[in-house]
Amino acid sequence: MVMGIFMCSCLVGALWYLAGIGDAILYRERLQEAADAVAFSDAALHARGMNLLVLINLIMACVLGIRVALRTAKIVLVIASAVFAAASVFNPPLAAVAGATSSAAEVLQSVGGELDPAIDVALQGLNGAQDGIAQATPILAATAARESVGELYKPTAAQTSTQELAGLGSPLPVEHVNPTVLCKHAAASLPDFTKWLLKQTPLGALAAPLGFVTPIMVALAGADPDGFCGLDSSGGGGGGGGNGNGNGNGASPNGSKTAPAIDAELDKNAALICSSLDLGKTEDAFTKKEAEWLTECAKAGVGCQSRDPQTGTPLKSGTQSGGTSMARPDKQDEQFVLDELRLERDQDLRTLQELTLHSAEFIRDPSKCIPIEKADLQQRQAEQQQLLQRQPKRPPSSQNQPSQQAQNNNNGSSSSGTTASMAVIAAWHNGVREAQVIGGAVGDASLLQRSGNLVRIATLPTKTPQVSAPDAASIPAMAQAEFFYDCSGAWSSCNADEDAMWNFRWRARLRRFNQPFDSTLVGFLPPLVTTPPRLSPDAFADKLGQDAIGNNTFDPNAALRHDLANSLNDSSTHTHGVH
Amino acid sequence: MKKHPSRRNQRGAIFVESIIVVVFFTLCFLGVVFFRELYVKKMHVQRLARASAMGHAMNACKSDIKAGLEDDLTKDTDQPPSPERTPGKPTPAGNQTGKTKEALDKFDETTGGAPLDEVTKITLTSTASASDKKDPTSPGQTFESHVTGQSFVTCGDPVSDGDIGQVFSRIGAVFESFF
Repeated sequence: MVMGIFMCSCLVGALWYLAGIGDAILYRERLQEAADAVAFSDAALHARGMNLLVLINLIMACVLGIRVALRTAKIVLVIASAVFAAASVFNPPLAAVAGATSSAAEVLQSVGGELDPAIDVALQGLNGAQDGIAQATPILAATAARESVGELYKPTAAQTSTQELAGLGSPLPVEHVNPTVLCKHAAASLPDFTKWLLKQTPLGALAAPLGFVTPIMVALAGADPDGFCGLDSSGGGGGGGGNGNGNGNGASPNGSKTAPAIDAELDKNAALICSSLDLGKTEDAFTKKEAEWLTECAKAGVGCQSRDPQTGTPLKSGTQSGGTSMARPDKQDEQFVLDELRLERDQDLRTLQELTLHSAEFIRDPSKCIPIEKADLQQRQAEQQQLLQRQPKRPPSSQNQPSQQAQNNNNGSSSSGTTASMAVIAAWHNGVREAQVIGGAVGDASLLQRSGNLVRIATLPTKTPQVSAPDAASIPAMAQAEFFYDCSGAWSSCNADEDAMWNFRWRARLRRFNQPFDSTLVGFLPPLVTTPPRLSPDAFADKLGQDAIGNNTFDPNAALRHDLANSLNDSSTHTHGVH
Repeated sequence: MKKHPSRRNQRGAIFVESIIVVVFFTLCFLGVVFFRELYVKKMHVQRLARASAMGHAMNACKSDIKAGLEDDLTKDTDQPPSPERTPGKPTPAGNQTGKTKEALDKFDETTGGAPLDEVTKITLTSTASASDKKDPTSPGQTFESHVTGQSFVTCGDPVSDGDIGQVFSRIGAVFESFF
């Protein structure tokens, strides 16, 4: 009977031991699930933020589409008026039709003039909303993931937290770049809207034949974005009701200003430079730019040469030997910065040499300075534009040319900064570090004490120490998720013509997360990053290492155990465990 | 002088003791089987709930979770999927195993949360049991317990191209989430 009671006690203990193991497995599962859920939720909210920006882009296109529609109709009426006027020579009654179309064009002109300020205000408001969403989304996403999802995993997951690898409080990876793209979509919105309306009615069959209109409208708007969209009027003014004389230079560093406006600005800037001509300052600017370029070259590991090694005189064009890896988008960006700095250095040197050459002449006759400076500014703009065309997704440098600086000083902000649709920043693509979100959950380890206490009943409680929660229970669970643009091709094709910000294809997904690293944990809650109490992992690692490499006996798992030992010797593994 | 129990009495005592111990042992082993069943089922429903919640969230909380679960659980059985069955479509009832039916009979999905932050909540319930009887109708010892798995994830957005029609429906969805 005594043996029977003893065996029964052992069996009860074993039963609770089994329950303890089950509890521990479920505890870790639940904790991992909480980490997955908060990481995914944070990434999902990032994706929703991006989709919201897409929605606002499309709304902006619709709003701007009103202006495009009015201007297109006006152009059509003007052309019709001219045709009828010409035809009236042979058929006089057509003169009346020509007059009517001309009047209609005038009416449209005045309606457009009335609507333009409202459209500008709406576009600026929507741009402001986009900026606000881009700034607020990451913070709101982290808070919402923690509060609305992480809280639901209590009490197992006592605390949850997320951390974006883009950095704490970093905005969404978007920027206003190219107004031409918005103009093209605005042009497409009119026929698209018509087709959509027809599809809502029994006349849906008529929608298909309208398909040819969209590419024509897009091509027209792309050829003359200033004339069709008048985005230069973002600062107010309405663009004069559409003059239709754009020079096809919409993507110039001057935003979408018209040719006469650009010319006037150049005159103004040239006069400004000539009025405060200072060779010393120009030389200083060149030296500074040269040093900046060389510093960036050194950082990127590119060999750059600015001066003749023997004479020490500046080379007309700086040279770069070697280059950054263009296969990686972040390196492409780096290369672009180098190219831009080199161009600015070359331009500053050219300006310095020109001024040195003509300085005596300018002192005698200051009026000769302006045409030379203007030519120099024009050349700078052309070169800058060529550089931008090589990197179409890159925004104009913040370190602008003197003309651009002067322009920005005059305008307060560039037109492209206030009325362009949002695009994904040049350095971003699917899978980049900045798209990753790390989620963490730390559990309430006391939940695992129950089985331990029950097992302790069988071991004469008065003589055994109190049962505490297993030390490994305080190791947090980690997960990684990312937001991405759902597209099967390469990023360059997915985001061709800024397409990524014109489709609702932003989603979230979980990623594999093997080893946490300390830089990812900066923004986590303290319980997720503090070292949990562990029982001498060093000694355990040593033992494993000895077993693996110290024994002469055959060990089929030697390599695996050696790797494990190395892993356990890693400080972050000590801190956060192996996942 | 104390009288020693006879061999006959001793055998009787041992018999009674052995009955007690054997019954207790049987109960304990049944308990081991029950605990195993309990934790396996618990983990099973938990993982199903988690996978369903993730899948549901990735489909903008608009997918047919039941169909997805049936799809997954049918793959989990020995029966090969019928050739005419397509993913996402419900399996014909005749093909459902007991395991599938059990999980799907106790299924709940709700979506709540704040505006623009809808959270889907998936609840699956199953039953874990261990019995010492072969025939369910015969009397005997049975341990039985319900196990529940719940998972919560923020819903993603539906994926679509950015055409004009989408603008109206998306604006409607944004307002709908507020009111």
